[in-house]
Amino acid sequence: MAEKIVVDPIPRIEGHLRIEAKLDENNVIEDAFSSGTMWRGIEIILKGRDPRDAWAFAERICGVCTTVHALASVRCVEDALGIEVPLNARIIRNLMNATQQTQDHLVHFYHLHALDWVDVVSALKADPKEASRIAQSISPWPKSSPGYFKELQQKLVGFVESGQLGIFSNGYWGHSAYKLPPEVNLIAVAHYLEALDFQKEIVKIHTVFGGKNPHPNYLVGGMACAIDPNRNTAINIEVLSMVKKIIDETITFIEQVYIPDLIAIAGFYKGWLYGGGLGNYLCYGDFPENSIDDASSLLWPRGAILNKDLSTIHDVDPLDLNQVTEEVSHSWYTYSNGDDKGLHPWEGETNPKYTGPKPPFEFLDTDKKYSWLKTPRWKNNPMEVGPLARVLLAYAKGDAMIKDTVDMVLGRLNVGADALYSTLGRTAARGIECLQTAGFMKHFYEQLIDNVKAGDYRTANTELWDPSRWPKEAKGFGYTEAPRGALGHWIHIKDGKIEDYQIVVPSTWNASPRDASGAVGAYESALKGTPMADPEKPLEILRTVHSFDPCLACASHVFDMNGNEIIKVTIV
Amino acid sequence: MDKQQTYAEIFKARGLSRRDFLKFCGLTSVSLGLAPSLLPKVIHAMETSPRTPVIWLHGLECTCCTESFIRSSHPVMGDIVLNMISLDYDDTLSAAAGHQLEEVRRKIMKDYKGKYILACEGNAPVKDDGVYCLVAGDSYLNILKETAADAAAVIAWGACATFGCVQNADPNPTGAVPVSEIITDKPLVNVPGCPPIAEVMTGVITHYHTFGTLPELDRMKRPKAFYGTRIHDKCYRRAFYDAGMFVRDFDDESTRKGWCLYKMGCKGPTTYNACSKTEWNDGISFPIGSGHPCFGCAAPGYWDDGPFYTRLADVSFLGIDSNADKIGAVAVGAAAAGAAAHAVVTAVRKKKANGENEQLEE
Amino acid sequence: MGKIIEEIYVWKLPVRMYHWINALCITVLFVTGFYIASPYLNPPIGEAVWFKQMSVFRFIHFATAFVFIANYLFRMYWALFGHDRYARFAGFRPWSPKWWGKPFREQMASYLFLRPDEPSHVGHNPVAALTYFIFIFCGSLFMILTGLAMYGENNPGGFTDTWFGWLIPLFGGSYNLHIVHHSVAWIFPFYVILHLYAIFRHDIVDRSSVTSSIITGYKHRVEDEASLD
Repeated sequence: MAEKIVVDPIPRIEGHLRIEAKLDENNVIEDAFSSGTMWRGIEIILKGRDPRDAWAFAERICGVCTTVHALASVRCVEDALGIEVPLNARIIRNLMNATQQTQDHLVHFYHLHALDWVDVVSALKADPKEASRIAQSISPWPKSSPGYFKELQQKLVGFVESGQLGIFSNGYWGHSAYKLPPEVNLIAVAHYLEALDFQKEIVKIHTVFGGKNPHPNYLVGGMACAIDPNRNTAINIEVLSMVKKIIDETITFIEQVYIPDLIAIAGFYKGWLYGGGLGNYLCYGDFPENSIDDASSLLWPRGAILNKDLSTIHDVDPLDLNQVTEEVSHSWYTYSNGDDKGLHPWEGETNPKYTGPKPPFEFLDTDKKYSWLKTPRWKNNPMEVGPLARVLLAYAKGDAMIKDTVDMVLGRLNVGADALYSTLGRTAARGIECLQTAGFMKHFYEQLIDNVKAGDYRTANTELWDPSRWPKEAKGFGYTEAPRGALGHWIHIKDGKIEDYQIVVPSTWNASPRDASGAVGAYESALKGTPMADPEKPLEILRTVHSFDPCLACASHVFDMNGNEIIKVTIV
Repeated sequence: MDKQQTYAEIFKARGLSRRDFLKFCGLTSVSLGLAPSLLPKVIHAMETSPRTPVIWLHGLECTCCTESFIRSSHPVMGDIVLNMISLDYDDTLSAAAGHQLEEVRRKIMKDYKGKYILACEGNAPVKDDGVYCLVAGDSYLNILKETAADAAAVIAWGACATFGCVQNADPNPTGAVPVSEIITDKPLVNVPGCPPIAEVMTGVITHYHTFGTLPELDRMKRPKAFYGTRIHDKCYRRAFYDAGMFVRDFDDESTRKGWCLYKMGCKGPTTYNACSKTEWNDGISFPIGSGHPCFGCAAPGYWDDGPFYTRLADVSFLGIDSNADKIGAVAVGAAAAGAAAHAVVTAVRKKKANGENEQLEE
Repeated sequence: MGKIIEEIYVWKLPVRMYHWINALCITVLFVTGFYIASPYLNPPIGEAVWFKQMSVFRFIHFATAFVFIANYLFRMYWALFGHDRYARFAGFRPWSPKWWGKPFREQMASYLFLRPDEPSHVGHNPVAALTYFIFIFCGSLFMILTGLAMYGENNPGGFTDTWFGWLIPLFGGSYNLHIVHHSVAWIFPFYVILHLYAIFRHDIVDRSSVTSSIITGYKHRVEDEASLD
């Protein structure tokens, strides 16, 4: 008799996610169901508002991947109105985006994901001298003396003995799926705390250009921050020097802490290569070096890969009505022409209709509708988006930096390229990409300096700021690669107001329920076939789900494009 | 968990000196903005109070409050979770998952009945039995009520929990309401902002623990220490406001001269927050400092005060989107037209009456 | 023009003083208020401290507001304790059905051209009294209270904030209060147009010198008018 287990809440993610899994008699996951359990209706709220304000609403979809929705939003409004942003604004946006990617990946690895691999309590048994030796053998990072690890261990002992374990309460400590020796656990705990301290430095770049973080400010037409090297009332060399210092420190931290830790930890888990999943990957691309409309100038390319076939890269056109579609056969919505038919965001609709069990409940009825997430498909294929998709696409396209780094990591771990199609591969791809985006930060900083040096201080294009100069009706598409994957915003402006606004979010791609044909989403696919050491303590589920870096507030934003009245929810 | 340690004991247990402890107390009191004369009181509080357990719930939100919280520079996050509070339940950071995590929540509620702090990030949708936010197979609404029942105090983090934020904006499809509308029988602190400034968040926690009382609150239950005055009152661009020197276009010399953003819709004059004093991310900048008008994220109902880039909100009047000045001008125009029409009728009547009189006289 | 057969001293000096101070205050408050809401002048040239344009407008607005309040309070005093038969509240009883009776209906009918002649009133006619109550009494009170609540924000915990700041949460917040104060200000130009028109019209129709009465204090009875009794 198959056993059904529930993990809800899934911690260390953004938002509310529930996983139900069916196990066979050997405790191997036979089938899995991913359910987004929150819905806010932000696009309904966006209707009728000023398109210049939309970025602020959209940005509030997510505070973890803060900035990405604002970026996609200003891009879609600018696309609709035909606004070209000044060079400085494009560079600053790229810099802020790279900052976000880097910081987000770092926080994800250490604070959201590491505890799936690292046993904190085991670190108490570590020999600080041995920990120091290991740390020094893998990295020149200076905080690695025996005394440093000893002091940390003492703190940890005191903390555990206090009986108040705080965020570490009731973790799966001692679980047989933890494979790291105590010394590596100790190093990881040390870096958990160091990364916690350091991540707040990286985002200061957002504060410089956007005034705050989380939720820095954007502007339709460019950026509001003024640059003038000869004034003390705008961004000048003093502030830029701080940005440079942060970038340098970030690169050092990624190179000397994140990447060595990643390789060290992965070395102990390279036998655990579950969680590969779909094998289909989708990217919109990002980091334009030219106009945003010029897809060939994107540093992160656009394209799709099907069935792990890296030799064929499929072209992606988000404006093609037959490519990106969403259906609701297993989501708590209804479509007027049948729930099973996929609709492109331009023609999409969403009528929320909760048909799940009345809370409190034990299990969802996973044969019917079971999630607040819709089911997006690309040419009817379920797709995975995110760091692994981007790294594979760049690898397939022959991006030298990515190729070298991937080969280096695979070489150090002594595994083949197939190992990338796994939970661990996804986690490694994130680290590889983080190293790349940290490099991007430096690249964009240098671009900014060169441009300012050339006498260009302009950051905003306000020629079309006034709605009286807008066309009566316009449609636009804005995209970005969020830390979690391809993100698209579609807008329809009419009479200076938002007529429709539609967002298809990375975590909706990854966490989507199955479609009408029964084809499962990326999470559900990745979980299948994973053996569980102890179903009571579903560490393996956390591990694989976390490797996608779920963001549920993003994923479950879905809305009604046609502004249909929300239908009264019926509880069955 | 019967052993409730004080800060002083914790410092001792961690092998830290009394000197470290006093330094920690000093920094804490500075971050709270306290006079040096209060330092002995802080030290005493830290020596005698156990670490307060905190249950941090997430409802309909975007997690920006947690993200802000971990950006705190004084005290830093590592210090907070290891030394100051016992953050026993927080879906964003907790190691435990599923029912093991829910078990922690129930245990804290039982072991520390009436002593733990409930920190709420996000709010609860009340429409349709709260199905728009489900946690652990129950509605967030139920979980919030259940967890609040035995809390010593409730802290409402951020715009969502305090005033409703974006999901509460018109037409509020999920029926999301502020925490204060659901939990009415507990001491409550509102810490608005989207998100609140990191040091403001940690300051509220430390204040409670240090003095054993909630910070003094204003009419909207906001700590006066951080929300006592408007952003405008402490804004470094205030001189330009007073002088009437305003940015009128984002692509203009005046933006580089750092003039006042009032005419670009800045809500600093009506928003109570510490942005212009504490600033963001360890005092680097704040929205106005980086050239963008404040749009009032710490003010109640700010999403419906748009458009953001004008001082005057749009209102819907008789089904037409307009603003007060347009409506006012139309009303005054209508009064003038009505008076003119009335005058014409009066004149015609009078002439007619005069004509009749003349006829009679003849 | 008919011959003046009687001069009646209607508006005593304090009432006339009140009227003109009030008119001046409303004009100044409206003009400065709109500058504060939307600064329409070019920025001054030079350093930010040289000429404080916004500060000057705000100072005038606040100073005028206090004159306006004092004037309003004086008028309340005069209405209650002034022993002035034409300026007191005593006759104004909108809660009583009787007040809405014949005199009110006759005046309204006249304004709506439903009767040819003009009822004669020495002081305020009932329709005018009602209008003044709504716009001048209630409107001003609203502007005073909301204005003081916002003024109190300059000094949280101070006198004005303590006594009037409680209004802010009632309106949802400071910004909403500003918008409401701004919106309600529009009733004054609306009212002034109706007021001026009604005055000039009465002068022409019943020739009672109502316009000059607010300067001289005297209204006239002319020979072809119906008797006042």
